[in-house]
Amino acid sequence: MSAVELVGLRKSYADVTVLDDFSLRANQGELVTLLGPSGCGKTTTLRCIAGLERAERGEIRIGERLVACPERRVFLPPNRRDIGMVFQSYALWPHMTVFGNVAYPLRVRRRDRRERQRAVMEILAMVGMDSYAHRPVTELSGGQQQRVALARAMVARPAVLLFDEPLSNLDAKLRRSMRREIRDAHDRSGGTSIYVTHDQEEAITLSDRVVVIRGGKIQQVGTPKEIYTKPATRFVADFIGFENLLTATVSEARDGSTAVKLMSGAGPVWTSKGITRAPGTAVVLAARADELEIGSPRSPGEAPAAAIPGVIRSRTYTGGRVEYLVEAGGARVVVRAPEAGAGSLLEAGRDAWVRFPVDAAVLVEDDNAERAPQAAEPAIESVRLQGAT
Amino acid sequence: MSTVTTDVRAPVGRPGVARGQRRPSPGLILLCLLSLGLFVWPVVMLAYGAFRTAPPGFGHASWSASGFTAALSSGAVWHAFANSLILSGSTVLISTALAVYLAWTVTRTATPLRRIVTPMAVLIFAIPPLFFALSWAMLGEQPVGLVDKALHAMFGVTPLNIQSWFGMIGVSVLGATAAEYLLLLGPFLALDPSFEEASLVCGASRLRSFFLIELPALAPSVLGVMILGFVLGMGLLTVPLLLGEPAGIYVLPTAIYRDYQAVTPPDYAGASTLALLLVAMVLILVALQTRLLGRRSFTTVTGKSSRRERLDIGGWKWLGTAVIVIYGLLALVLPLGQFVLGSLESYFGVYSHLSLNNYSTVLHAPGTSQAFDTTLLVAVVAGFGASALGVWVALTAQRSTSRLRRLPDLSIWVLWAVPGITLSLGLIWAYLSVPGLRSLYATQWIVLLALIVGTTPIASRAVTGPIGQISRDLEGAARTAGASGFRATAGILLRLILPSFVVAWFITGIVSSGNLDIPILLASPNNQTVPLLAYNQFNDGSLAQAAATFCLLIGIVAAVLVLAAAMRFVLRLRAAGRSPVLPALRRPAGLPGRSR
Repeated sequence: MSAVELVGLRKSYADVTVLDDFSLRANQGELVTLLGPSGCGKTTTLRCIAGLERAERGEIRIGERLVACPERRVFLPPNRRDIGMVFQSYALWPHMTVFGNVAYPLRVRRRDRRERQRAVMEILAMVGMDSYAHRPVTELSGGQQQRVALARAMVARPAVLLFDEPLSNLDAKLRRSMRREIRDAHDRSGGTSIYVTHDQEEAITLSDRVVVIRGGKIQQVGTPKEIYTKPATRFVADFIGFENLLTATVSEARDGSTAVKLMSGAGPVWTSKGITRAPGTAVVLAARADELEIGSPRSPGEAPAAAIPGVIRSRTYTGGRVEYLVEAGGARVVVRAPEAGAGSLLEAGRDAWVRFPVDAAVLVEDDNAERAPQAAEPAIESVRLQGAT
Repeated sequence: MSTVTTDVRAPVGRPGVARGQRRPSPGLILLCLLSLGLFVWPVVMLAYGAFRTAPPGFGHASWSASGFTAALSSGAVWHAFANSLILSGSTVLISTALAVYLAWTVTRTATPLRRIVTPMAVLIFAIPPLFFALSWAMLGEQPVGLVDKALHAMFGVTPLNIQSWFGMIGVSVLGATAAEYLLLLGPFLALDPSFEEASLVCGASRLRSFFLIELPALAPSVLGVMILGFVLGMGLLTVPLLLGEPAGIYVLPTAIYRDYQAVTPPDYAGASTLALLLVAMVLILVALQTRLLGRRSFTTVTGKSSRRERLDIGGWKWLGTAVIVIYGLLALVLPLGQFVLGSLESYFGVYSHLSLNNYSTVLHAPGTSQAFDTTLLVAVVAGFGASALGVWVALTAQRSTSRLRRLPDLSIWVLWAVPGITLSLGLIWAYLSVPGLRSLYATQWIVLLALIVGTTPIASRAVTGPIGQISRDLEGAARTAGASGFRATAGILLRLILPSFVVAWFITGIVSSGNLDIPILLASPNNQTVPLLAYNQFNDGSLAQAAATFCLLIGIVAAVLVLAAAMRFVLRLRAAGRSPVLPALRRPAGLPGRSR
C-alpha cells in the first residue's frame, strides 16, 4: 500500500515562495495529475516527492513511511524512496545502451544477472523496444527514448511512479499514442502515479484525479469530468478551456437554479451548475463556445427568450464548425456553431443574438483578486535562469 | 512589355558558383596554401632534417641516415624518451585526479572557498610555466630558498631537493592542474543534472551515481584532457630544463635543446630524430584515443541546465577547502612570495638589506627595454594574427561548401603533434629552407611568425565552438532583410564573432608573452623576449635580477588581467550577460583527431 501524502509543504527560492502550505493525497493505485501553468510549482512538488528537492516545511509520506519532514529532521535521499521517475528530458545516460539504461535500477538493487536479464527484456517487450536492447540510446528517436525512459522507471516495480511532463517533447500524434501507453503501464504496475503537465487535454484524458495548481496553491481537485464541466474558479475555467468568462451579477436564486445578469444588464441567464450565491453577488459566467447558440434576428432587436442581442465582429472557419466573435451584453462572446447550422450564413458586421441554453453555462468564483501570485511567476523563471548560468 | 524578358537569371549571379558548390574560391585557395605553408611545412621539414647532414639552407648538405640511426642507437636517447614518458605520465595522472576533484568540488558541492578556484586557475594559467620553474628552483634552493629554510627550521632536515624527479613532477602538476581544471569546468557544468537525478531515483547513492553515471558520461572529456595534458607534458621544456637538467635528468625536449644549442657542433640530425620520436609518440596517443572512444558521440553532453541543489557532503567539505588552500599556497602564494622577496634581495639568499636596487639595475640594463618592447609586440601582434587565422579557418570549415574547406582546419590539427620545442625546430628548418624567409633568421619577425604558428591551435579551439553556435539563419535573416553578402558577414557574423575573437586574442597574447620554447631557439641575443632574458639571467647566476625581470612581466600581465576584468564588468553593466569569462576555456578543448 503506497499512497503519497503531502501535508503543509512549503518551498521557496531566494525570496520567492513556490509552494505554500501545500497538502495533497494520492491514494494507492491512483493516477493523479498536477496541472498548471509554468512556474506554478507543480514540478517543484514532484521533485520534493522524489527527494531531488528539499522543502522547508511540511511532511511527505510514501505509504506508511515518512520520507521528508524538515521539522523532525527527516530526509530520505531519492535512492531510498522506492520510486521511478520519467524526466522531461528523458535523462537517458548516453554512455549506456538501451539495455544498460533499463537494467541500471536492478543493478543498483543488486539483483542477480539472470533475473535482471529477464526483467529488462520483459519490460522492454512491454514498451515494444525489445529489438533495440543493444542499441546506444543516442541513436533512438524521441518516441523511442520516451519508451526506454518509461521502461527504466518501471523495471524495478517501484511503489510510486513520477512523471515530469514526459510528453512535452513529442509531436501531437505521438503524444496521443504515448498517453495511452502510459495509462496502460500505470494500470499494469498497480502502483501510485503522479503526473505533471501543463496540457489540460493530457490531464483530462489520462488521470483518475486532476489537481489544478496556481502560484503554489491548489485551486481545485476533482475527477477529470468534474474539472472539465464544473470548474470552481475563473482561473480553472480559463485554464481548462472555457472561452467565455463573463462578469455577471446574481439576480435571482430558486430551486437550486440561479439567474444572472451580464454587466450591461442583459439576461437573465439561468443555470443550475456551479456555485450558488445570494442575489447581488458578483460571479463569473463561464461557458464553452460550443455550448452556445447563435442566430440572426428576423427584425432589428428581436431575439428568442434568454438570448442576448449583439453584433458579429468576426467569423472564422475552424474545420467542421464556424467560430464567431460577437459583441453582446457589453462583452465579447465566442460562439462556435456547426457549419451547416442556422448560423453559418451570418457574416461579420451583421446583427445577431447569442443564446445561453439552460445549464449550458457554469457559475464560478471570480478570483481575479488573487492575480497577485501570477505576477510573481516571471520572477521564479528568472531565478531559475540565474541559477543555470 | 518585351523588356521584362531581358534577364531573368540576373539575380542568381554566376550560376553554379552562387552557392559555392565544389569550386573553391580564391580566398579558400589562399587560405589552404597559407595553412599548408605555415602549419604542415614545418612538420615535413622536421622529418627532412633528420636525414640531412646539415640544417636546410646551410652549406653542402647531403642525404644521410647516419644521424638518424646514430641517435636511435644511443642509449641516452631512449633514456630521455623513457624519462619523458615517466614525467608526463605521472604528471597527467596526478593533475587529472586533482583537476577532476576540484571541478567536482566547485560545480557540485557547497565547499567553502570554492569560488576562488576558477580565478586562481585562470591566474596560474596566465602565468608562464617558466615562472613556476624559476620560482620553485629558488624556493627549493639549498640552503637559502624559503621552503627549504622553513622545512629546515621546522624539522631540522632538508628532505627537499627540488632539482629532482620529485621537484619536476611536483611543479609540473601544479601548472597542469590549473589548465586541466579550466578545460574540465565546461563539461562538468554542461552535464545534464537530470542524469544524476535519474540515477538517484533509480536507487543509486550519490557516490555510486558519480562513479557509474557522471564520471563515465564525462569520460571522453576527461580522457581528452588527459591526452592533451600528456602531449603537452611530453613537449614541456622549462621545468625539466631548470629542475631536471641540473640533476642529470634528461627528457626529450631538454635533449633536443642540448643537441641543438648546447653541444658544438650542433647535432641537427640528432635533434630532429628526437623530435620525430616525440611526434611518433603523440600520433600513437591520438590513435589510441580514437580507438578507445570509437565513434561514441556523447562528447558534448548538453542538457538544459536547470537549478541544481549543491550536495551537502558534511564534514568532507573541509577536506575540499584544505585541498584548495594547499593548492593555492603551493601553486600561487609561495612562488609569487618567493619571487617578490627574491627580487628585493641584494644577493639571492641574503634576506637583509632589501631594496629596489635590482629593479633599477634591470631597468637600466640595455637589453631590458628592448626585451619588453619585443615581448609586447610579439604578444599583441602574434595574438592578433593567430586569432584572425583561427577565425578565418573556423569560418571556412563551417561556412564554405567546397571540398577543400576542412583542409586548413586539419593542417592546424597537425600542429598538436609537434609540442613545444619540436615545433621550434621544425620552424627553423622550414624558414631556413625558403630563400626569402632565410633573411628573417635571428630577427624578431621570425619569432613573431613562429609564435603565430605556435598559438594558432589555441586560438582555433577558442573560436571554433562559439562560431559553430552562430546559426546560419542569422545571416540568412540579414540577407532577406536586404543586406548584401558582405554586409551580412561584416555586420552580423563578424560582430557576433567579435567577443570570442577578443578572448582568443587575449589568451594567445598571454601565452605568447610567456613562451620560452620558441625564442630560446629562434631569437638572437639582441632581440630576446622577457622570458628568455629572465632565463639567461638565471643561468648567469643573477637570480635576484631574474626575479625582478619576471616580477615586472607578471605585473604587466596582472595589470592587463585586471583591466580586462574591469572592462568586462563595464560591458556587463551596459549589456547584461553577453560573454562569460574566457568562454573558450569552459568548453571541452578540442583534441587531436577529434574535431567537432
